[in-house]
Amino acid sequence: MLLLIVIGTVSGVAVGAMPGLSATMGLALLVPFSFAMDPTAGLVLLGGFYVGAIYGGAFTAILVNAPGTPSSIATALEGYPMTKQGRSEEAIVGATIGSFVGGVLGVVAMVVVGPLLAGFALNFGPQEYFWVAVFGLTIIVTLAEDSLLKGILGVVFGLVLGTIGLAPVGGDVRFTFGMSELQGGVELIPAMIGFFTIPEVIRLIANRHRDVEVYEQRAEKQSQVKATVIAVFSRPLNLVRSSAIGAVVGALPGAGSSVSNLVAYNEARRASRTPERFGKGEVDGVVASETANNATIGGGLVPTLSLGVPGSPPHAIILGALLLHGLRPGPGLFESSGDLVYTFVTALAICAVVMVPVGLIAGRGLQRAVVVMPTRYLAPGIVVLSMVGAYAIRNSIIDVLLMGLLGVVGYLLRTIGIGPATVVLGLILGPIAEEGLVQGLQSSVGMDMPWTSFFSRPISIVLILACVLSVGWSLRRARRGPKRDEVTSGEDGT
Amino acid sequence: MGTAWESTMEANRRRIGSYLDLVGGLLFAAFAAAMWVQRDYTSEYSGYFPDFLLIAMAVLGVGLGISAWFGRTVRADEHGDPLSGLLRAVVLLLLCFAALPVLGYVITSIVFFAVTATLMRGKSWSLKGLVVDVAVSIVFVGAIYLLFSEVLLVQLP
Repeated sequence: MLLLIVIGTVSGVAVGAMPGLSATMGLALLVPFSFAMDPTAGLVLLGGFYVGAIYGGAFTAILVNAPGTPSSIATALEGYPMTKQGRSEEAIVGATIGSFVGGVLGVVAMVVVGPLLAGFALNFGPQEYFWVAVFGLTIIVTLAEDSLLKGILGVVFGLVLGTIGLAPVGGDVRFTFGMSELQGGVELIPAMIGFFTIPEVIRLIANRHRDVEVYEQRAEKQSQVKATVIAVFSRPLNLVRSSAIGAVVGALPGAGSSVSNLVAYNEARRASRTPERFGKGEVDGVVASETANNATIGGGLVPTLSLGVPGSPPHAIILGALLLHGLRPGPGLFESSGDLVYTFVTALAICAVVMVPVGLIAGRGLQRAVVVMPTRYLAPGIVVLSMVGAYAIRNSIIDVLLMGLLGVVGYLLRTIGIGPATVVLGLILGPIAEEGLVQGLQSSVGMDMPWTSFFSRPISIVLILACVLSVGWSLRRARRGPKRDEVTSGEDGT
Repeated sequence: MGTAWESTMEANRRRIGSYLDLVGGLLFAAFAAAMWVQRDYTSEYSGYFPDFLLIAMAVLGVGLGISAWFGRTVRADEHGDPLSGLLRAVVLLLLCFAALPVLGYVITSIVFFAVTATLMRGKSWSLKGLVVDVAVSIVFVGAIYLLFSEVLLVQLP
């Protein structure tokens, strides 16, 4: 069993580390293999793979600004600047420790408060999902570093891109410019690679040698494992808060790790005593993101196992694997197949532990490989891998072309100060928001004013308050930021 | 002397930034208009969300243009990438993506990898270097192709 855990985790890390290859895709490829095994072994293999794939996405996010999975977007925001400063090892160690803690606490949350979380998630209707998406969009106040106008413009652009293709409710074909290939919409992973990775490749090719000097400086750094581990554990609140966010967001069907990493990052930044360091290479941001996305695994299994409602696409595949093995997810699963479920849950926790040595060896190995790799091979190598990642999602060349086009657009957006995270945030949350909006209106069609249903439900009101507080707090913090900086620089100077 | 030069550079930087913001804002508004023309909804609620977004994008785009016109621009990041290098990068990438449907993954990737690696050598280009770059590209692309097509069973174009 331990061997299966190691195989699953290592292969998951390898797949997650490739730009564009998501946990969902890897799990889908693995299901036929697991079907030939007995249910326990098959599920343990899938669980190990899932844990490894979510963690593996951090490597490329940190090293080459190419989030391997959507769950590592926030990791790239801090990890890549750290790499540019020669602190990639610190970022990888932070990501590993965060993933370990998030993975374990996510499983603990699943076991201890699983039924409570499942009941809580059941109370979420379309209106609540709409407000969850809006709450996610309030992150923009944090992500828009220098200009809120540009930040909002970036998010709206992402939201508009998300409306291309079939409408989530109603099935209208929208904004395809007569191209049938666009009916499937703008797929998240090619867009993510386009906005994050391609602009970086453009810069590498355009500058030829400049980044080589930056990379070479890193080789002189001493190993920072111990210092980083101590630093990460010295801020336990960041770990606990991010785990809680990951578990709760994971328990909400439709949200998943794509959202939880950004929310946790935002909260870490807001709670930080040094928020001005975020966006420039702050290890706490990497830790928050990786802790949350791994806690999402346990959180997402709550509705999957206890209600039969998958929290995210990877959980849907695990649900499918359970059904293939003749198991019926639902309230009775823990009683009818308790031994299997608890073995699976225990295996997930062991996977999180196994991930630490695997991550530290593989991650640091990869980091050193990138350090010594000449830029002239790194840049085309990223493109060659990215093409596979974009193509493999739907076996569509259109996705590769879209990736390239959006990459050039992403570069142009960066030159006017619109970062990739804002656009991708819109692209992730747009469909959730629209589906919630339209379904909420449809479900309230008998009311005189259907819109009021978005403002009258108890959880909706709580979420609206959270949105207002989130924006208000961030704006207040931003306004106070320069004064704090002045004080800090004054202290340093004396 | 140095201060005067710095303030001139800062003024130039802001002028270029304003110009870019102005063009960017107008492009956003134009994109919103192009999308607006495409509207063709048949069900009741399909247009609520996108219509709101398109109006918001047009308004924000115009707002960015106006603020840039009045010189109120914020420059978040200064790349300073050389124009010739930029053109080289964009042309290489676009050619690569355009060639993919025609030449397939293996040939396109090997050619792109080898040409990019050779061009990035700059003045230190040599025949020996070219041979090495071609060999590295064949090995790298071949390994990726075998991994996906044989191990992961993902058929590449």
